[in-house]
Amino acid sequence: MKNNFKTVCILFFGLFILVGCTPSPTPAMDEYRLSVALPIKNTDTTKCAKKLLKVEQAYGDKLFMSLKMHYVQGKYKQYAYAQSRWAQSPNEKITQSITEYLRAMHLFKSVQNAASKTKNDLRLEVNIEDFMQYFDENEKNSYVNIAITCNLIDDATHKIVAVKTFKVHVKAKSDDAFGGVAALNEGLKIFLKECALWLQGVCLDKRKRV
Amino acid sequence: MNNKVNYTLVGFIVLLGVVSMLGFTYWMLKPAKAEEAQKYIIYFKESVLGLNLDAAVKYKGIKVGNVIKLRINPKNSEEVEVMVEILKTTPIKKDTVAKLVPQGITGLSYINLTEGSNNAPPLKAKKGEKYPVIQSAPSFFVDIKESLGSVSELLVLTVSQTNKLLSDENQKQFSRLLTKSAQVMAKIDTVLDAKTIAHLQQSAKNLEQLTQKAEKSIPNINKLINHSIMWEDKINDSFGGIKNTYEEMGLIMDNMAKSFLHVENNVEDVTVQTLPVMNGTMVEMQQTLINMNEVLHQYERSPSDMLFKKEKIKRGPGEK
Repeated sequence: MKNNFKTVCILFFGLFILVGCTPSPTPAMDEYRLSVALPIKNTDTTKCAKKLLKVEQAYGDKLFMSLKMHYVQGKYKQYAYAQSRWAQSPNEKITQSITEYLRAMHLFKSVQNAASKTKNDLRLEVNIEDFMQYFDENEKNSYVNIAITCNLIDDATHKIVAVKTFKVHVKAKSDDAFGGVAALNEGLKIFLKECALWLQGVCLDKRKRV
Repeated sequence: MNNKVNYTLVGFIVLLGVVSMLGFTYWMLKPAKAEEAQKYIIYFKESVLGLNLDAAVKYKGIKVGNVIKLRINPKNSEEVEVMVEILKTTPIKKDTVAKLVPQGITGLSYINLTEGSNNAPPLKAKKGEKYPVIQSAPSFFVDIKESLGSVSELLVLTVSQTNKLLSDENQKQFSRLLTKSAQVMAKIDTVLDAKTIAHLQQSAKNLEQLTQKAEKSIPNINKLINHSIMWEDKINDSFGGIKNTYEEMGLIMDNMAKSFLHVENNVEDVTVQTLPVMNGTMVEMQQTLINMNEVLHQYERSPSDMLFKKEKIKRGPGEK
């Protein structure tokens, strides 16, 4: 008798929770993904042509490693879009884009991702310092900022061969999440081009031991 | 008076006399037979002053010929070509040498031939030469002149070096050296007084005694050396043992190095295989932690959302 009472109580509590959730329906969610299909420019043969490169997973603030799509309003306020989110976290997408673009350029003999079990000559570490949409106090005049630092490291000696910080600023076409994603997409393309040019310069520089 | 002259006899006698005179004249003036003399050429590089035509050519002091022609060598203006005629009986060999020798105080010279050995082959004309050429040697005066030249050069050099040696600076240095030497000698003189000499003599005596003692000690030293040799042999044996031990240790170390290398390779393989997997897992864990952190942050701000979902959602720009 006592057991039956306990079962009824638990069922009632569960029903109460389920019923409690129903009055406030979750709004529809848009998922966004970045798409950076760039035309590949063939590079001249450099001293990196015989080197193996591993692109490490990009790291940064947890804002850039989350699926939530954050934005900054005015100078100090930071929010996340309620109805928009990333399909793939920005750090994963940036890592993937760099790997694919460098691989297609044939600047190195081979470009591996962080999961590769091969032994490599060089390692590219990527730090995301900014990858966000900005608004003014009135949620107008939207733009995006991208700031990424790349470290090229000799895997044998663990010494830095070259380092550079790339900063990109792109005005958004619309003051919403879609405009922000489109601007970040453009900014990522600009960053990839500049990063590839920088690596090409490092490989051509006779003073640097690559 | 019978004045009958036999003209035929007179003519015969006169004719006989004339023939005899002609014969005597011929005998007197007849040229030396060509086969009795041989012509030779001598080239002198020195002056042949005093050597005239018909000057004598002597072999070891005996006259054996004479000069018949003198001229400057047309092929070499530094030489004088002298043609001589020498008796064929003279033994002119390949090593025969001609020298100009002055004849007393007259200023005249003759040619003396010397140095021909018995074993040397006779001198013959070479191909392209009309007459054999006797080699010449410088005369006594030329030798003296050359020697004097070199002696004078040496003298000049010596005088020059002496001048340098006796320069004012060197003279000063030398006088300083002499002064210092005198001072040193004076000091030695003061040091080596009678007392010091007595000490030195005593030291010599002590040294002699020491030598005697050392001679007495030599048998003991020999014994010590023998013992030392035995001890050295033992030490050598010990070192041999130590060396063997070291060699064995070296082998062991080599084997250990190989083992460590093997282990190192294995560790490296394991590391290369495992690390990327671990890295991936860590990244996913990090992602999960971030998501959990977000959820916790949300429910921390509004715990009732777990049941009632009461928090008002802030809509972003462009969201309805």
